[in-house]
Amino acid sequence: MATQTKPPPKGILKKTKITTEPTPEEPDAAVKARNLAIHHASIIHDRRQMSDAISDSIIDLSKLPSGSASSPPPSAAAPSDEDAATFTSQVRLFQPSDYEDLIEERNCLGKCGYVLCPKPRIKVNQTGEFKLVNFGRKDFAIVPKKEMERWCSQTCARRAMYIKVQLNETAAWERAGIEGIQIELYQEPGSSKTGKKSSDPAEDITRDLRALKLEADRKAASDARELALERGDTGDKRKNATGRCQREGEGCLRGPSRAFARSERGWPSTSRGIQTKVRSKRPCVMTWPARKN
Amino acid sequence: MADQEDANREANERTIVRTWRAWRTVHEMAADRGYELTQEEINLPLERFRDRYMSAEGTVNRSLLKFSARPSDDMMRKFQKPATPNDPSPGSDCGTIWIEFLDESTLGAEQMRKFGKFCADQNYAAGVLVSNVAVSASAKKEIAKFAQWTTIEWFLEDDLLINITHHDLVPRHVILSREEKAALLKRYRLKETQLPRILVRDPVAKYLGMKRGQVVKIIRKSETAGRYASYRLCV
Repeated sequence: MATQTKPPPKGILKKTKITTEPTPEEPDAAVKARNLAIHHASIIHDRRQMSDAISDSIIDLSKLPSGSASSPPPSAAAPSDEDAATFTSQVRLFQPSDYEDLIEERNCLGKCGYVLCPKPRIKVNQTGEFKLVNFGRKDFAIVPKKEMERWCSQTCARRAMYIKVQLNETAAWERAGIEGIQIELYQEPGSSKTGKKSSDPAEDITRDLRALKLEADRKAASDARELALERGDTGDKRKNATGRCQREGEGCLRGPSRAFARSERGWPSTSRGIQTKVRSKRPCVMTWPARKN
Repeated sequence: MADQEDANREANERTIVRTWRAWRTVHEMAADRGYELTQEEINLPLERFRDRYMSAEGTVNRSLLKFSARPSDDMMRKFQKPATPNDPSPGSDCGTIWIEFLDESTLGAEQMRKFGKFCADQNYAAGVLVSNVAVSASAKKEIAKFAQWTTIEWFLEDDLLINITHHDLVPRHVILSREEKAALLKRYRLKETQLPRILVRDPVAKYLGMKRGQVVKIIRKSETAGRYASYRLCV
């Protein structure tokens, strides 16, 4: 075989002296690697624990509101303080998808999807996918039957969705430490604004400030991302392409027509593939081999 | 009043027949997977089922619908773990299976967790839960948490009313053992990924309790060749 008799390929790099020193460093490196591995393992462990906690709280919250035969649970409009506190503190770490799971879990148990509502969900006694709501009135709507059966009433749906829009898509472990993220319950339209929540104006103001700061942070992050995208910082390829085109101005302009002529003559398929891919971004690259021929 | 009673009785009768059919299919499934069951257990007639599992009110008593089955020697041998230098005679992948019909009116995460815990505590290698109500999304997520102790599967009673493998258009599926799979890949000089695929949630794959990475041999009838075998990798 020809391949076997060939000498091994020779490297083109400069020969560097091989240091024989790393042996004393080795135990240190091993310890370092171990520590790094442990660090990453503990991060994964924490995340698992967080997701376990979330599924635990789904089970807990699906049983709310708490109440016994002697003291029936209060209505969804005016839940007990204890239940409301458990709900807001546990739902804080939920992602919208977890919240959907919670609603489904409650529906499976036959309850209204809103956590603080003690009523059972509606069962629509009709076949068919959709149902007409408020027929003949201004707020008439055609609602999927499935969507209707998730709640006990329209107001509960509103209350539950008010919670959902406050939830964030960010992973739970990234939010766990941020105290600023607090979930608020739906302000009932009947109750006056000077309820127990707004009794202390200072508290109100701090809450608003916190919300503002959070909003500003989010805005800054998204702005930075957009700017990076505009500058082309996302990938090295894009950066190189723009840089080279600016440097070689003329070649850039000439590129496409030449490349097109080449493809007419019948190039190997692979290079044509690259050509078509690259043409839009860095056409000048294709001009180089042509000059030599 | 009498009409009401009649309607009630009729509904009960329908549930009993449905449950009996699911009960029979589950037994056939266990037998097809290679667990040891007697012919008598598999072909339980409706009358006997009614005697045994009907409560006084005429409804089916689901809390009694549970059984375990041991794998046959053939099955143990087929799913033998590969021998390593450290462990020259490893055990088998399969073990005793626990099959239970859901006794409650809901199947949420809590029920699933209870079932998984029970199977793990009793050292069952596999657990099958047959439910007559829909399964919630968070209940399905619970299954993965028990993966290192036991394999939990769930079926809807509706899906077990007939045995799909007895249908005329469903060809015979045979799961290959580790050695057979290695021989197949060697014979055709394939990598695993080059095989055609079958989904884990495919009804027949679910029926056979396939796991990711197993290969199933599908034997079809062919007009020209008599029999035609194809192989699929479970993903």
